Formats: sequence, structure tokens, C-alpha cells
Amino acid sequence: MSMDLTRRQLLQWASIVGAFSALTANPALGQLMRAPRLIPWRNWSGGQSCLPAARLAPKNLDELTAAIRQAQGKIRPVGSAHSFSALVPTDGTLLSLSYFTGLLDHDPKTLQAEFAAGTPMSRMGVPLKGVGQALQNMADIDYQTLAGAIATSTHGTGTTFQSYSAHVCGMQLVTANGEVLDCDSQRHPEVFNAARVSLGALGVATKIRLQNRPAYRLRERQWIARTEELLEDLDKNTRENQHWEMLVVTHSDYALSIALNETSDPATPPIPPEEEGGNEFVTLIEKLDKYGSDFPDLRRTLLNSLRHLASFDDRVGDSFDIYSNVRTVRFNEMEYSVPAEHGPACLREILKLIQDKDLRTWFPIEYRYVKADDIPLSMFEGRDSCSISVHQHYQMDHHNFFAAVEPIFWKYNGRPHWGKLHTLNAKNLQPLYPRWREFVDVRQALDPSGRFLNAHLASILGVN
Amino acid sequence: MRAIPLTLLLALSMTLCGCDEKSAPSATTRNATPSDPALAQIYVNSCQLCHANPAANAPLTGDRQAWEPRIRQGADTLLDHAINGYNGMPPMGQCVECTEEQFLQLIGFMADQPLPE
Repeated sequence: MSMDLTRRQLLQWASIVGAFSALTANPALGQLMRAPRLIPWRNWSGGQSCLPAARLAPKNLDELTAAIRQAQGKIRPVGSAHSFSALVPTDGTLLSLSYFTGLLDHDPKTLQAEFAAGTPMSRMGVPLKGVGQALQNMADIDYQTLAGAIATSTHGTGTTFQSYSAHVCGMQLVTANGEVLDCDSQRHPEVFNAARVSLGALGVATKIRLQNRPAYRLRERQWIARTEELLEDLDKNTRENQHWEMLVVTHSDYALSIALNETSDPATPPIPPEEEGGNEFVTLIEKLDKYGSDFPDLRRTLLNSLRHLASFDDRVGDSFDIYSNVRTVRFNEMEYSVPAEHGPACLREILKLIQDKDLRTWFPIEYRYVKADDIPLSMFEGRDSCSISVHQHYQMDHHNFFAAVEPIFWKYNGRPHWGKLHTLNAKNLQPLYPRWREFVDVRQALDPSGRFLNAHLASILGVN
Repeated sequence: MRAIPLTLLLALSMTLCGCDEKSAPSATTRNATPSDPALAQIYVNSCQLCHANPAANAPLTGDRQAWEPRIRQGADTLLDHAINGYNGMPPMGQCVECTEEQFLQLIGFMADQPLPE
């Protein structure tokens, strides 16, 4: 390869080398060039991102309070990044509680246990079992941290079971001015009530005390049935099963029905890893969508015929093992909770829309029930609810699909899951929450300058 | 989902997605943790949930065969996948505070082999 350079090229190279030398000779610029580059933060699905100026993981309470006092700009606590909504993004400071983990204390008489707030839900079951306790209910994934799950009123299913937040009986918060606040029903009760579902807008939770129950095993039973039949049998399914939900296969007439009930039966042998969580089924219907979406009638026929290929063995194990599933396919999600009695009508309308408009989606719709609670900003405040979740593969655009479905949720007076995608702001949300003012007043008192608010939180809480 | 009829479903699924057989390290190997306590804490909090769980479909810790083709892509690509996410791998592997150096150390530990320069 010839390296002959013209005089003009030589002069250009010389000027570049000269400029680079001048830059590196400048101490400030040299330091800047040697500094580690800023790393973007993204949530689990990759749909939310930001470029924070600082990413901090304090190792203890003193470091945490110092970090909050000294932080420049906005501060957002972050757990496992599993929220789909924009609760976390900030160009200020991201605060991780990854060093605040583990079981801290427990009481065998009251069956209460205190965990460090950054503990992943996936690491609570074993230590709790070790002290004879278990969570009263769990969601079907356990990737979240305890603080993140509490902050967003995360939940499992069961008409007589409330969200994680409803089982909180005490917590420690570090507020915007670095003050450490221990609260429960006796100490700072107004803060405690609000902090049980706080969106991380009141401060950083460091310790959370939960009301648990004795450790138990669950039996999981699954079967496929026509979605309409399952809806007609709702009363029976929810009455006869402690935890019942269904995963409705879109563009088909069928759903997977899942029932969990407490049992004293011995545990069944572990299932092969590749069969855990139904991920192979998700992969299959993804492929059917890829190759069959141009032929909707054929796709429906194929999807409907899958029921002939599937069968299920019951599974028995520790509650925390049976509740949770591994999710190997990432997605974005929108979930609304509607009054329980409106659940069937709301789901039927969504399914009709997907079929009529042949909306591009293939992820199953999750249909669950949650009992009412008394937390000001809980989606379940004051009403038994049916939670309906629609999903879209993380590489597929979700905007058109979610935009088409969301008005149906509004029609049924739905409240959006705080950690999932929605388009509401404070003007729309306030009428849905009779105790809205209680939360807003506590937030204003604890963080008047909005240090814990990012743009999304300012929008949904109506703070200028 | 399981039982014999499901093998047909799985066979169809495998055909459609072109999956192939995977080797798996022993439980002892995949349950190992880094010798550096700070790195071990990050690994346990962030990586272990998927990379020590065969059901997660992630390359398992100590499974050199599974890591081999990934390592061949080079440190920059691996770092990009760790930070920005890739297929089932969530962005940052859920370690919000990790530095680029720590990501590379964790990848090297899980792959049980040095990363190319």
C-alpha cells in the first residue's frame, strides 16, 4: 500500500497532531480525556434510558445520607430496573441499594421480618424459610428488589390476597435533607401510609418490615381452555383456587389457566430447566407470529391447535419457588387495574379489538385479581381489582398497540400500574385516587424542592 | 409445560428457532463466585440469578464452551452487550453501579478465560 503523502496532507496531519498535543498539555482537558466515560442506564426492557452524571451505591447508612446531602441535581433511587415506566431516568444521581441486602431481623411470635430494602425478591424466600416464614403472596417474577416492588404496589394474584405493599408494617426512609425517618402505624403514620406506595418520590427506603405467614408449599396446576369458558367459570376458578390467573394467547381462542393452592404434599422433582416458566411456548408463538401474521386465519388455526400438543404435570414446592418464573424473553408492558367486576368485559373488549384490527402482537395477555387495600396511591385502594397486562416484545414497537388498547382501560375506570407504561398525567390520575391529596401533601412536606422528582414523576404527580 | 406430548411442541419450537444442544457445567462450577469480595458481591446480586440458572438460557458461569463464541466477538462487543443489553441479557446485567472494568472482570470470571485485548 503506498504511503505517499502530498504536501497538503502532511500539513493537515501536522495540524491534527499539534492540536492533540495542545489539548493533552492542558491539565483540565487532559483530566477530562482520562476520565471514565459516562455509561448510559437502561431499564430491563431497554425502553427507558438516561445518562446520569453519577451512579452511586452507598455501602451503609452513613454513606447513603452523605450521598443524598451532597448530590447535585435530582436523585433517583433504582432497584433492579424492572419498571417499564420512566420512574428512574435522571441526568442527576442514580442511587442503587445493592449493598442494602439481606434479612436483618425477624420475630417468630408476630411472624414479621425486616429486610434491607435493596434485597432482590429472588433472595428472600430461602432466608425466610430458614426462620419458618414466607411471603403471603408473590408475583410471577421475582427480579424486583423489595423497595422497587413496594414502591410500585407490585402484586401477585388471588381474590383474597393484597399487593406486597399492603404487607408492609414498618420502614426506614432517608428523606431529601438526609434525615433518617423510622415510620409505622404509630410513628409518623401519615408518612408510613404514603410510603407504602411511594414511587420512590418520598425518599430512599433502607429497611422494610413485612407481615409474613408460616412457610408453606404450593401445588401448581395448569390447563388450557377456551378463553370464553374460563371467563364464564371465573367465580368457580377464583373461589376454588387461592391464586388463579390466566394467560390469554392473542390471535387465538384459548388461554393457559394457572391455579396455585397451598398443600402439605411433598415436593415434586425439579422440572428440566428448559421447560421452566413456559419460555419455550413463548418462543413458539413468537415464531408462529413471525411466519403467520400475514395469514391470520391460518395463524389462529395453528395457535388453537397447540392445545392438542401440550399437557401439564402438577408441580409442588416451596411457595417462593412455585410463584416465580424465569423470563428469558424481554418485553414492554402496560397494565391497568379495573374494578374486579369489570374484568371480563374489559378483557373481551381488548381481545375483540386485537382481532378486529388484527393488531400486531403475540405476547399473551395476563389476567389476575388483587384484593383491595387502604394505601393512598395503591392501584387497589378501596376496591377489589382485576389487573390486565398487555405486552409487546422488546424489539417490536409497542406504541401503536398500547395506544389502541389503553382507551379501553380508561372506559372501565382503570388505574395504571405505576411501574408499567401508560400515558396519564396528574390531571387524569387524581380523579382515580380518592386519597390522592394525602400522598401529595406528604411528598410536599418531605421534599419541597423536588429533589426526588424526575420529569415523569413531576408529570404524574402534578408538580411544576 | 412438560410431559411426553410436549416433546412434539418442543421439537417444532426447536425447528423454528434453530436451537441446538448446549453443554452445561456442573452445579459446583456454576455456583462459584469471584475470589474478590467486592466483585463477588456484585456477581451474587446481579449476575448469578441468570448465569447460574440453566432455566435462564444465559451462558452459565464456568461453561467455557458456551462462552467461547461470545469471547471471540471481542471485549468491546461483550461490553456493549453488558451495558446496553442483548437478547435476554438485561442492560447492565442489573448492576447499576458497575464500571466498565468491573463488567469485563465479571465476564472474564463467568467465561473462565481471559478476554482478548
